[in-house]
Amino acid sequence: MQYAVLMYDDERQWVDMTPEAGEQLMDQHMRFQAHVYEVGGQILDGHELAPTASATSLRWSGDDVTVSEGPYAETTEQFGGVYVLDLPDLDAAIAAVKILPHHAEIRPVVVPEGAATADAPAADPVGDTFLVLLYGDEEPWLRATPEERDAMYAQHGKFAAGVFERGAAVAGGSELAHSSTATTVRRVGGDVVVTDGPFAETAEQLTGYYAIQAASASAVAELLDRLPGEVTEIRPTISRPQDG
Amino acid sequence: VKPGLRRPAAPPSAASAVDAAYREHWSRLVALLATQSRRLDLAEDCVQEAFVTASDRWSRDGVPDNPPAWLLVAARRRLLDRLRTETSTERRLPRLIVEARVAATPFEEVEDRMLEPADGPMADERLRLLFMSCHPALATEARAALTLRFVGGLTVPEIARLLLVQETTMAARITRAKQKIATAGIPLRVPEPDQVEERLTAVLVVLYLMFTEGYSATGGELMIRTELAAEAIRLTSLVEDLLPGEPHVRALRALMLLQHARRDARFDGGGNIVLLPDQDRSRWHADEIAEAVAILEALGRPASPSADDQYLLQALIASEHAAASTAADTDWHTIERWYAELERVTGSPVVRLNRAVAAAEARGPLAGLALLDGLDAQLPRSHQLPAVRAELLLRLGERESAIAWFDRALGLVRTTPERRHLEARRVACVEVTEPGHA
Repeated sequence: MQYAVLMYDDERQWVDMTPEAGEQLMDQHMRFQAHVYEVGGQILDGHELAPTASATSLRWSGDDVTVSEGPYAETTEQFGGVYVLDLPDLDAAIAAVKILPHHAEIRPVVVPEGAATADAPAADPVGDTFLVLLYGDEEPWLRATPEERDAMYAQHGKFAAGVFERGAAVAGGSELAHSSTATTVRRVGGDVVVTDGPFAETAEQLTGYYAIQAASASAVAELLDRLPGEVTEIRPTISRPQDG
Repeated sequence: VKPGLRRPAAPPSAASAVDAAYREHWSRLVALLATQSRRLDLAEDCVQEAFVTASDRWSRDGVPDNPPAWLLVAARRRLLDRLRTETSTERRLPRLIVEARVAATPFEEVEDRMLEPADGPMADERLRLLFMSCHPALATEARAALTLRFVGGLTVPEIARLLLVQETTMAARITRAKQKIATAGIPLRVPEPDQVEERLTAVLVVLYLMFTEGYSATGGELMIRTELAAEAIRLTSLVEDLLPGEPHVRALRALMLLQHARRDARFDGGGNIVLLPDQDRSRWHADEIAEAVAILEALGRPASPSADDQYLLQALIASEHAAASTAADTDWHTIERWYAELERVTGSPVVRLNRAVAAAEARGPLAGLALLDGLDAQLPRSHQLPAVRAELLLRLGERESAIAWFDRALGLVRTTPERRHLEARRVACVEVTEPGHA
C-alpha cells in the first residue's frame, strides 16, 4: 500500500536551531529512510517545505482568483514536509513514522488503476521544485457520479499537459484518500500517541499535491488556472545535497 | 440470544445447536472467510446466510456431526457465488490486508481444523479480529463497537442498544470503521510480539469499557446490560487463554468477576439501588468470588504498583469487600491503602473520591471530608461528590449542610435509580431534622 506521511510542527522551532540539533534531525530522517528500506518498503517521493512565510495561496470563486501571500490557513503547527511510502500495511507505516521527530498524519494514497506511480520527471530539471497543495471540501467528491469523477481527472490531465507545454514539469504528486481514513501520530512529551482521523479537523482538507519544477512561484501560479479545486497553496521546497 | 435465527417450527435441539454454534463459531467463521476473501463485509454476509440456512436445514434433516465444518462449507459456497457475480465496482473496493501465510492455507486444511475445539489453537482467529478491532488508529468508540460486532458476534441493533446510541448512528460508525480498516490498511493479524504489549492496553480498555457499560446498568436496560458484562468476562478469559500468564489480563478478569458476582444484590425488586453495606451477601455468587480470589492469590500483592497495575489494585479493593461476611467486618484500612496507591498511579479525582469514602469508614467522617477538599474544581459535574459530602456531613450531625449538598447532587444526577436513591436520602435527613425544629 502507498501512504503519504504529512509532517507537522511548530515551524518556529527550526528558526534558531543549533547546527547540532539540525544534524540530529537529519540523522533521524536518515534512520527513518534506512528503516523503510530495511523492512522491504520503498520511498516513492519526499519533499521538505520552506517555511509558510514563503507560501502563496490562491482561492478560487468561479473564475475569479484571489492571490495572497502566506499559507491558506494560520495554524499552530504547520505542514512542513511529505514522504510517500510503499509499505505492506498501516502497522508498518506507523512503526516507520514513529522514528521521525515530527507529528505526522498518515494518509493512504489513491493509486490510479494501471498507471505508473507518478508522471515521469523531465529529463533536465527546469528551475526549482514547488509543492502545490490542493485543499478542498471533500464532500462533493464523495457525492460525485463516475462521470463527474472522470471529468475531474480529465481536468487534472489537462493541467499536467499544460505544465509541460509551458516549459515546466510535473515531478511528482499524489491523490490522498479521504481524511476519515487518516491516522495521526502525535508526539506528546516523550510518548507517541496514535489516533484516528486527520491531524487538523478543518473544513477544507488536503486532498492531494503536485511537485512542480518551474522558474518561480509566480510561474507556478500561472499554471494553476486549469486545476480544479477551491484553494491551493504553493510552497517552495528545500533541496539538500544528500538528496542527490 | 439471536431471535432472528430461531424458527418456531424447529425442534429445540436444532435451534439450540444453531444458537450454540453461533456463540462459539460465528467469529471464527467470519475471520476465516475474511482471511480468504480479504473482504470483511462479504464474510459477514456469507456467514450470516449460512446460519439462516442452517436453522432451516438442521431442523429438517437433523444437526450435522460437525456443525462448524458444515457452516464453513455453506458460508464458503455463498462466498464463491458472491465473488463470481459481483460487479466491477465491488471488485475495486479496497481489500483487507491479511498474512500471506494464513491466506495461502488451502481450504481443505482450514475445514479440517474446524474440527478442533473452539478453544484450541485455531482460536487465534478471534484474537486477530480482536486486535484489528482495537487498533489504535480507530476511534475509541468504534473499537468497542467493532469488538462487540466481530468478536462478540452481536448485531448492529444490539450494539446500538447496549452502548445507548441511535441505531443509524451505530451503523454509520461501524461502516466508517470498516472502511478505514480496508482503505488505511489496518491488517487482520495478531501484532508482532513487540507491538502486543502496547496494543494490549487498548484491548483491555475496550474490554473493561464493555464490562462497565454492562455493570452500571440502569432501569429498563438492566437485563440486557448484565449480559454485556458477562460477555466482556467471556472475551477477557479468551484473551487470557491466548496470552497465558499475562498478569494484567488476569487481574482484569478477577476484577470483573468480583464486581459481577454482586449483580443479583445490587438492585431490589423495584429496580432501586442497594448500596454495598445493605446488600444481601448471600446473593453474591460465591463461586465467582472464589475464582477471582484464587487469581489474586496467584498474582500476589504488588510491591511498588505502577499505572499498569490499576486493574490489580481495583481487584484487591473489590476482594476486600468480598472477603467481609458482613459490611461491619470490612477492612477499610486496607481498602484505604489500596485506594491511596491507585490514586498515586492514576492521579484520578474519581479514585480520590472513593479513597475519601474508604477513609471516612476507616478513620471517621472528618478524614473523608479532608480528602474531598479541592475536588470540586476537578469534578464540577459529578453528582457523587456532593452526595458523598452530604453523607459525611450527616454523620457529623450537620443536617442543614447535608440537605444543601443533597440538593446540589440532585441538580446534577442523571439516571432514575440514582435520583430515587438521593431523594430518599434527602428525605431521611429532613425527617431527622424536623423534630429538632418542632
